[in-house]
Amino acid sequence: MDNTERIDRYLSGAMDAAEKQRFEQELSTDAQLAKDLAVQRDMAHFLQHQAQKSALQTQLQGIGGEYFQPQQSSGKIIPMPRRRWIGIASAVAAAAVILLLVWQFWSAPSLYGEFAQHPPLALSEKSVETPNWVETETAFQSGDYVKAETQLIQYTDQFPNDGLARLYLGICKMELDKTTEARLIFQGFAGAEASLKDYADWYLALNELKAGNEAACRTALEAIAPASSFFDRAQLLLERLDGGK
Amino acid sequence: MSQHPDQQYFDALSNGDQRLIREIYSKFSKGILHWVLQNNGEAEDAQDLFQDALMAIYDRYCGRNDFQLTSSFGALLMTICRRKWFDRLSQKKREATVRNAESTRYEAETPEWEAAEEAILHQQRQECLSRVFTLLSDQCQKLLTMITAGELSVESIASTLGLANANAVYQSKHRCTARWRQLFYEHFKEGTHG
Repeated sequence: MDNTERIDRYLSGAMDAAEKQRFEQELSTDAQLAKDLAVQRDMAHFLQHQAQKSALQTQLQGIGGEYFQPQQSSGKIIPMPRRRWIGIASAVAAAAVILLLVWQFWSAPSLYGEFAQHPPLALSEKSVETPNWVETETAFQSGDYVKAETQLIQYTDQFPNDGLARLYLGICKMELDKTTEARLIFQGFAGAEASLKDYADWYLALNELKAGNEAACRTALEAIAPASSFFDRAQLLLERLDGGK
Repeated sequence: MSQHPDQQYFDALSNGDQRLIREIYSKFSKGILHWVLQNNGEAEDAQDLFQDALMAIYDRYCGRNDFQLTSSFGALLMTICRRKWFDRLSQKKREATVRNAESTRYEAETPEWEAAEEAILHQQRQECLSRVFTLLSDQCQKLLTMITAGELSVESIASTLGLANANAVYQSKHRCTARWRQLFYEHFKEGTHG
């Protein structure tokens, strides 16, 4: 027997309480009926939303072009070093510079938003299984800094010497407006290997910008030496601070 | 029960809120763009993937009340993009170009992964329904669309479509629905419509 009419009555709320109860009991034992119901529910969704969906697709097409622009190079993902982080820290910093250079300016509501373009977190080289570092990466990339922060705290507890992980923890805290904690983290790289220190100095300046401490931001930017990979970017931000407000 | 803070993004897709949709792009496009570039894709691929993933979220969550939000919008969006990109690379037989670590890591199910799978399945079903809808007669397509729109009385629909009366409209509706459903069963194969 074709269920079409009964399902239609069920979905449209036309059944009285007794008929509805019988129908739902039948659903639990009749797999074909349940399958037909699922399809007809999807059909109703399609009919009800096809015009709206088409409008949304057009809207997204219009907006998307503003945010996805062709880039010359994809750069390289920054691998979190395993245990020998010191030996490859300079390569990490170099990759970070490439990423920052190819990174486009996106429309952002503030100067901070314009400059705070973080290279994606990549913990794929980590051999630790728990917690799931894929989740940490996903959280960071998607802007879920609360989750990323929680897991990076666990990670840095296990591997306190992992400088890059600590940097990303600082970024999470900065994004979460925990700028005092972030400042302490970035300042902790004062005696670190040069390439990591360059990175931390840049983020120290950004952190001050985020905190609204423009004078401290300027001081931090001015402390970035010409030899730093971030010198040009620091000068650009200084110019924007001079002319932007 | 308090609403998930990211509910606003799901609502924005439902009601076409331009400001919030721009916020979605502003917050999440960068990470996905970079990830696609790292995995043998171009900016155009990333844009298409991002839009496709947003439409999957629309198909699964908008206008439906049979779900509870358990993950952040950004994490779900990122996971759908990754899942779809792996499928596309696989279809193009470029699997080897995806980092091995990437392709195996994501097999492990996370809450986002499960939700992403579900969203993609809903999208595949909607896409299949859309395709087979065009296989129905013009009369069926008009009838089902007019009834759903609810702008005309059943008598007016009968008159417009040359049917005898309201009863004939309902009989036709059930015939058209049954035919459409049958076409769906004949054409839908899970996982091959993405």
